[in-house]
Amino acid sequence: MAQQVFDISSIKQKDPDSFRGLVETFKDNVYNTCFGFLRNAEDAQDVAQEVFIEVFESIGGFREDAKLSTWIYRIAVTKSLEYLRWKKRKKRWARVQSLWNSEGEATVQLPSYDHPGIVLENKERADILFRKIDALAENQKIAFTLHKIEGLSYQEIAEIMKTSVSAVESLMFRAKRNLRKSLQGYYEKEIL
Amino acid sequence: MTSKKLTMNTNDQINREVDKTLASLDHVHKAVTDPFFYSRLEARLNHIKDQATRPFSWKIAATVALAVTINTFVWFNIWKESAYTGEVASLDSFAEEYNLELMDIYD
Repeated sequence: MAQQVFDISSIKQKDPDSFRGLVETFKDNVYNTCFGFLRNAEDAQDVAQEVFIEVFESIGGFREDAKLSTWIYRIAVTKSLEYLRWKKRKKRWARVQSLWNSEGEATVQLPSYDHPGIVLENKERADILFRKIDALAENQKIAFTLHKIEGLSYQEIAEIMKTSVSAVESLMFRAKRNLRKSLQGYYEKEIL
Repeated sequence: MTSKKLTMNTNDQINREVDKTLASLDHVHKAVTDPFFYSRLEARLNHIKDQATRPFSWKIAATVALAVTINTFVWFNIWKESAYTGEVASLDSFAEEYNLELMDIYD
């Protein structure tokens, strides 16, 4: 996390310079987190901006009993998952539409799975892995993404998810076990 | 024996692929925003502020328009009523002045 160059009380007073300081401090963390869930640059950009709009509008209610970064990460995760749910609904609706209209399916943009931080030789494998991550239970997906993509510690993830470190360890264990099982099934079909 | 060996080799190969794929996100570099992130955010915030103020002015305009309509309707009715009673009153006074009896159609 970058060095803090703003004053929370000034942001609560809607001071534009302080808010800008906050955005500059957290923008890459928020964007990278959103990208981890959405895997599409445009979507991640949009959702990251929505996160900061939410921060701007509701910082007055931030009680400072958690770290500001934890609070912002929590908003980023919630917004990303909301966006994914909305996109799934849209996709389902497009399928229904496509029964009547042949253009229906074309209205949904599929994620490109093109994370800029993944080296070229790993892109294909990462693409397969991301698809398997999508099938994980939501809590496992959150813990796995925050740890693997954003590089957060189990302690930080526990604070964001409002749970214990041992619960995060358990989520990560189950996530890895499920991913391994799912990937084994995938490669069995590929190799055999 | 050969078939068992083949299965073991296949399992090894599958496990190797799985391990490589699971490791594909290790040491991933962070995605970063472009330099225009804040200016775009600022534009969106300003747009939201504009939208927040716009419905208020529309509300005022709608309220004023409704008030004018109601007033016009009420005043028109009052005027119509007074014009009508005025006509009846003048007819009565005319009849009284010339000692005429006003005939009612029901008489």
